[in-house]
Amino acid sequence: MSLFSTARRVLTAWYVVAPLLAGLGIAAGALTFVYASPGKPQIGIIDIPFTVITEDSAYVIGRMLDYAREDDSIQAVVIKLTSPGGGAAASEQLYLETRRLRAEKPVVVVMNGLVASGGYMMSMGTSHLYVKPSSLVGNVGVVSGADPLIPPVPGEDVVFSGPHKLDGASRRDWIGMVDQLKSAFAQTVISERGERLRISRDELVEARIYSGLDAVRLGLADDIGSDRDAIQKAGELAGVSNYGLVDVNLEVQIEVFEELARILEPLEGGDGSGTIDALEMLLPDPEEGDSALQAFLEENGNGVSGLQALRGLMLERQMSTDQADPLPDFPLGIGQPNFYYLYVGNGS
Amino acid sequence: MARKLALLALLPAFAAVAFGVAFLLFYRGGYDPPPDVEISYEEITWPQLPAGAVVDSPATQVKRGLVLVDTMHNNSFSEAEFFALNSRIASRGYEVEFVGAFTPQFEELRHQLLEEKLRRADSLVVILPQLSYSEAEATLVERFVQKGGRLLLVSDPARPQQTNTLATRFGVEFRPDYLYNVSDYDLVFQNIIVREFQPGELTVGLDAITLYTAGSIRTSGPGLAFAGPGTESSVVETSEPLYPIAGGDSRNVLAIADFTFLVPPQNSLLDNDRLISNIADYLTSSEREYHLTDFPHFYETGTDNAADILLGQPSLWDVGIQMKNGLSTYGIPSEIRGAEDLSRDTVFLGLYDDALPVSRYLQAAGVRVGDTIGTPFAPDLDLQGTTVTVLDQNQDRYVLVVLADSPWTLTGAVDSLLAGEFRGDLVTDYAGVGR
Repeated sequence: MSLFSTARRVLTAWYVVAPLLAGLGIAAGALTFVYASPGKPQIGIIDIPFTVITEDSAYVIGRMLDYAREDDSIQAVVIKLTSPGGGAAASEQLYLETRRLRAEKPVVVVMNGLVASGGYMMSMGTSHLYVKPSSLVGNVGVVSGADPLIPPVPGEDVVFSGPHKLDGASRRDWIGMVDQLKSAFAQTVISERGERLRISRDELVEARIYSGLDAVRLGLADDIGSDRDAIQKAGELAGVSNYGLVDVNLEVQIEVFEELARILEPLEGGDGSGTIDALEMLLPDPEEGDSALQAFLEENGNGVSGLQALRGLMLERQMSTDQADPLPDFPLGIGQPNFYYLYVGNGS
Repeated sequence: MARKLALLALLPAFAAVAFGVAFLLFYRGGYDPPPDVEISYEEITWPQLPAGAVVDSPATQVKRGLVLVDTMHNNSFSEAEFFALNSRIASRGYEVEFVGAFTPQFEELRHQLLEEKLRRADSLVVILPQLSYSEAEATLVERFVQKGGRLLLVSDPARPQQTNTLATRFGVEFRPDYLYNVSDYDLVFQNIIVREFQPGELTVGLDAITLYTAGSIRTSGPGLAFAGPGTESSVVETSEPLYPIAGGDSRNVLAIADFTFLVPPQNSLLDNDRLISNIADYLTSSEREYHLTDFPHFYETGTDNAADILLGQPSLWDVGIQMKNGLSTYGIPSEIRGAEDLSRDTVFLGLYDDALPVSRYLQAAGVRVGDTIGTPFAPDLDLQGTTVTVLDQNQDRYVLVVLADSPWTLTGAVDSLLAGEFRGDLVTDYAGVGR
């Protein structure tokens, strides 16, 4: 018997083939699990340090929520939140976005420090609320500016078609809307907290701030707990264990930088000289100059480092809603009546 | 062959087992999302109070008078905001004068202006002064109230003010709070509805009023409007009653801890309009007493003939003309007459020898004219170079008597009266002796 035939017989023997196939099967199963579906479960961590909710910050936070929702490996989300609230529409946007995320994945909030007004509204769209004993929670209500008691009579140089074309509504109407939004906010809390809430509507709309201890006692929050407790709770609600953690803030930042790089790629000459072209493209009138751009150019130079800084600036500008002169020759100043779900600290 | 197939089946079998084990290692169950929370946003509206009927029934007999409105303490309101009450006062025949087109920088100037204006006024309205009332100014107002002038004090916790610098003189203190009610309100919780009133001239016809950013008042007088159950103070946590409207220690003082209810459109909600009418009635029904120091404002302005001028002797005609012209500069028309009409306001100008027809007025003032001049509070004086001035008030009639030892002295006395320089000579509220 030749050596070859002996080897062939051994290699085709069941006691060799079977373990080999078993091993291959295990590897294939494991690889399929890890790389195809569903993969190792992750819990997404969104960190929102003290943030006033504006259109800009709501855009960024919304993007993080989108990321967490769209990434299939993320099975649950923990939001570390500190916010006094902010603009009403922006806060409502975040509430609706977290609610949407909650419909797909559990979302657990851990309230660090102050979570008031619009910040609290945002957390109403989540599954579970943790507070620290010293957290400050609540302030359910609305703040708005108000016109003077006697509205000024418009000048003769302005023609308008109806009594409220300029102001949109009477002072009383604006005040009424404040109350209406307060009721909507309160109703949101009452509906979302359901039977967990142990505070009357009248007490709720007093807009008090409660300590974390009282918030739990009154059902405005669920438990006292740390970030780690929140992560564990998120895992439990999602039904996962041995999960990994994903820094959603970082992932979104990377995503944004990649987008910017893609935008700027055609302009880069390899030596960073494309920065100047990018500047010209960004500036409506380069001859007029731009002090902010000039300052960062002086600080960062025209090279690659300048380009990196430009990316940051572009991101900032992309978020900005300032419009210096949106309607040339318009005869009136443009006001922006706004409602806020905001805790302002000392009330002045 | 079957054995080979069985062996090959090991691969997917172990793959499935490995996948299953891995799955069980990481996934212990699925996420069960909560049921979608339904929020009935469409049912959330805001309450609208009905506008009350416009109620105003000023007295048919229009009286003349003056309501002063303080605007010289950098007051936190505009004349436009005072429009509703202004028109109600005007419809009762009273003039409304805003005191001070600008705020005098110096306290002394403010004091002089206030003193001059109060001589003529029937009522004073002080709304949200941002500058403190000085002791001297507060004393002036106190004396004005003691003489029957009416004082309306309006504060508002939402605006800067120093109203208490005056109010405390009258047993009234505006607290640094605001009232609110989270369940019974107009528009927002700070717009309280008041339904309990102390019966009286100011609250007649009121069922419910709504006050905007009202505060509470501590008073030694009567509370006139009571914040009902459910209305809280932002500061006061005791169970004492909360009055947004109260009287002071005199019935001539009214304090209201809210301003904006006077301003359209809030003035027309519920019974606010009726309250404003009641306030206008209150301000135009003072029973103001005038003293000699108030000369010549006890005589009416704007009539055809406010006062008769009587002369002790025909030789004093020029002095009579001097008085007539002087009164006309104050808007007070007068006529020189030959005989006294006991139904009319009168100025008597004469020498000491002419004192007999007016002796009853002198006597009522405690002044005796004989060889010397006697008064209750000063030693007797020689007649030479002196003047005596007496004001007599009987019901609504005012009689001013001016006597002197000679026509020249009398001329000087009339000059002094018209120029307002006589007040240093007053020995009582109704009598003065000059040299």
